[in-house]
Amino acid sequence: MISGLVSRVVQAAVVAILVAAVAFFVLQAAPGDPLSALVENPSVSPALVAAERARLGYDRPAAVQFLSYVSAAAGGDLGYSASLGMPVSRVIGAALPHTLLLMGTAILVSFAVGIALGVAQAARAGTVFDRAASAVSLFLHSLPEFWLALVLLIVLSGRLHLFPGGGLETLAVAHSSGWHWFLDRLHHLALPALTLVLLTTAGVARFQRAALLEVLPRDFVRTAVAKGLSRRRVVLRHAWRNALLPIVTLLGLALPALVGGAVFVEQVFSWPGMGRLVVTSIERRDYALLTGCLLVGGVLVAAGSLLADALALAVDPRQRRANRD
Amino acid sequence: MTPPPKGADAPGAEAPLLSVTDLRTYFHTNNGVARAVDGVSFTVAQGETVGLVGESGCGKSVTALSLMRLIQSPGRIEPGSSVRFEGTELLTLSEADMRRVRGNRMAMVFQEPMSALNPVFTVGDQIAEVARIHSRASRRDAWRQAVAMLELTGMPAPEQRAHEYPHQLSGGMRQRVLIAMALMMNPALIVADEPTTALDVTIQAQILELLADLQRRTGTSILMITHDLGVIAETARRVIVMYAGEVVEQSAVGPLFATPHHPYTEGLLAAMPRMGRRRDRLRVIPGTVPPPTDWPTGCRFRARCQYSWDRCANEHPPLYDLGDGRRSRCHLAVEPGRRAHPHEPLAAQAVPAR
Ligand SMILES: Nc1ncnc2c1ncn2[C@@H]1O[C@H](COP(=O)(O)OP(=O)(O)OP(=O)(O)O)[C@@H](O)[C@H]1O
Ligand SMILES: [Mg+2]
Repeated sequence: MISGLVSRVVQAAVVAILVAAVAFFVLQAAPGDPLSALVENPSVSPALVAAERARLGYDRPAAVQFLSYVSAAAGGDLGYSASLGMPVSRVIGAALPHTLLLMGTAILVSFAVGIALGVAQAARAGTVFDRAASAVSLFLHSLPEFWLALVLLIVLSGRLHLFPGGGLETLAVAHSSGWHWFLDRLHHLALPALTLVLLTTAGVARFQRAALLEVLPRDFVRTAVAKGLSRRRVVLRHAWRNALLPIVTLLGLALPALVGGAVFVEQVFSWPGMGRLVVTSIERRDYALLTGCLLVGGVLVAAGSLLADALALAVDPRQRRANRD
Repeated sequence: MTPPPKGADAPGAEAPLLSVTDLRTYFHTNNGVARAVDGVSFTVAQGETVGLVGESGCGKSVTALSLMRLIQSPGRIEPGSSVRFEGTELLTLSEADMRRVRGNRMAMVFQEPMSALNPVFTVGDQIAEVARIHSRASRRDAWRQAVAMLELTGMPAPEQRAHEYPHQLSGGMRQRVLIAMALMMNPALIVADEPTTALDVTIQAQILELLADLQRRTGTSILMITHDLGVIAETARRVIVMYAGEVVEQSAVGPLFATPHHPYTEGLLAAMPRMGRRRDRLRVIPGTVPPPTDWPTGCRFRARCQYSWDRCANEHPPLYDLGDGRRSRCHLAVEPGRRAHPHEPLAAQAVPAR
C-alpha cells in the first residue's frame, strides 16, 4: 500500500515536469518574446534590444534555456516577471492562495451538495422530485461557464446589488477587525464560488445518482434489508459506501476542469488568482510568468489526482489488496 | 371459525411456527404478469427442517423472499395471500414491525456468498451489525458476539477473520459468515436459499453438516431450499416439491424417495446422481419449465409428463390429499390405473421433430 502510494507520487511528479516542458517549448515556438514589444518602440535602438536578449539568455537554444529553467525551478526560482517587475515566485505566491481558496470552497460545496442531491434522487428514483432535479442538473451542466458567470454577475450584482461586482475584498475594510474582514471576504467569495459550484454540482449529482442506482439492486443490499436494517441505513451505509468510488474518481477529474473554469471565473469577477495571472501574462507576453503559472497548474492537477488515489484506497478495501500483491 | 383453507397442512396439536397459505407473488412486467408463485401453501413446525425443492425458475427464491417481504417492484405479494409466523400475520405488518422480524426471528442465508456480503465492510462488522440493530448491543459486545458466532460456525481463526473483508475469504468461509449472521439473534426460522449451490462438493457437505449441527444445538427451524434432492435427503424431515409456481407434492422424506406420487417428483428422483450410476446415464426430464407469464391451462406439467391424458389438458389438478400427510397435484391420485400406460411426453416428441 505504501509502495503503491510512493509510485503514484513519482507519477505525479513526472506529470508536473511534463506539463512544464510542454508549456515551455510551446511558448518557445510562439512568435515573439518579452522584448518584442520594445522593437516597435522608436526610442529603443535594436542594438539595445539585442544586448538585453543576450543578458536575459533569450538568445540561447531552447533546450539549454529549459534545462537552466528546470534546475532553477527546483530551487524555487521561477525567473523574473518582466511585465510586473517582480520575481515570478512572488507573484504566484500572492495569487495562489486566492485560487486555492476559491477552488477549495467550490469543490467542498459542490461535492457535498452534489452527493447529497444524487443520493436523495437515487433513493427516490423516478419520482417527480428526481425528474425535476435531473432536468435542472442537465440544464446547468450544459451551460457555458463564461456565460453563467456573466449572467450571475449582471443579475445578482449589477441588478439586485446582492453581491460585490468583483475583487477579493473591500479596500475600506481590508484592515479592519477580524469578523468584519471575514464577512467581507465571504461576501466577495460568494459569486465566483457560486458560479463554479453551480457548474460542478450538477455533474457530481448526476454521477452520484447513477452510481447509487447501479449499487441498489446488488445482492448485498438485499442482505442488509434481510438483516432488519432501516431503509435509511441500508441506503446511506451499505449502498452509498459502495457508490462512493466513482465520486472519488470524479474528484480527480474535476480538479483540472475546475482549474480551467477558474481562468474564466477569475477574469469575470476580477479575482486576483492564478487564472487572472495567466491572462495577464499572455496579454503582456510575459513568458516567465506564463510558464510559471502553467507549471504550478500542472502541479495542482497532479496533486489532485494523487489525493483522489489516496481517497480511493481509503474507500475501497479491494484496492488496498491489489496494491499489496 | 373458518375452516383451514384447502391445500394447507392440517394443524397439529400446536400451531405451526410458519404457515403459508395461498401465497401469490406476481411480477407485473411489460411482458405480462409473471405468476412466479401462484397459490403456495405449506407449514413449518417448531424445530423442523423442511425441504423446498424444484427446478430452476419454479419459484423457490421468490417464495423465500416473499416470506421475508423482500420482493421488489414490479413484484407484488397479491391480496389474499397469508404468511403467519409465530402467531402473527406478516403480510399486514407495518414496515417497522417487519424489520423487527427480519434478521431477528426469521433470518435468511442467501445462495451467492460471493455477492451477498458487502465488499467495503469487514465481515465482523457485518455480523455485529445485526446485534447492534436488534439488541442495541454496544460496539464491543456486538463484536464479541460476532466473533463467537464465527467460532460456532467453525471458522478457523475467527478473531482474525472477523477483521477481514469478504474478498479475502474463500467461498466456504463466506457462507459461514452468512450463516453466523443469520444465527446471531437465535432466530426461530432460518430460510436457507440454496446455501451450498455456489460451493464445491466437499465444502457443500461441510456446510450442510454445520447447518444440521447448529439446528440440533439451537432448535431453530430451517426451510432448506434446493434443486438437489440429495441435499433434501441429508437434511430435511419433510419435503415440498414445487413446479411452475405451485406445490405439486408434499410428503415426509422417506416415503417420497420410496414412492413418489407426482410424475415430476419421479423425474427429479430419476435425475438424481446415485451410487453406482454414472452421471451421463442420468435421465433428465424432457422439456423445460414454461415461462411464468403464461402457465399452461390444466396441469402445468402436462407437456413433460409421460402419463398425461385428456383430463390433464382440461382440468387443473387440485392438491389431492393422499393421507399420512402426503399430497400430490396429479390426477393419477384419482385415476391410478393411468400409470400403466406411459407414453412419450409431448415435449420429448417436439424436440426431434424440429
Ligand atoms: N424481478 C423479477 N421480475 C420478473 N420476473 C421475475 C423476477 N424475479 C423472479 N422472476 C420470475 O420468477 C420465476 C421464479 O424465479 P425464482 O428465482 O423464484 O426461481 P428459483 O426456483 O429460485 O430458481 P433457481 O433455482 O434458478 O434459483 C422466474 O421464472 C423468474 O422469471
Ligand atoms: Mg433461486
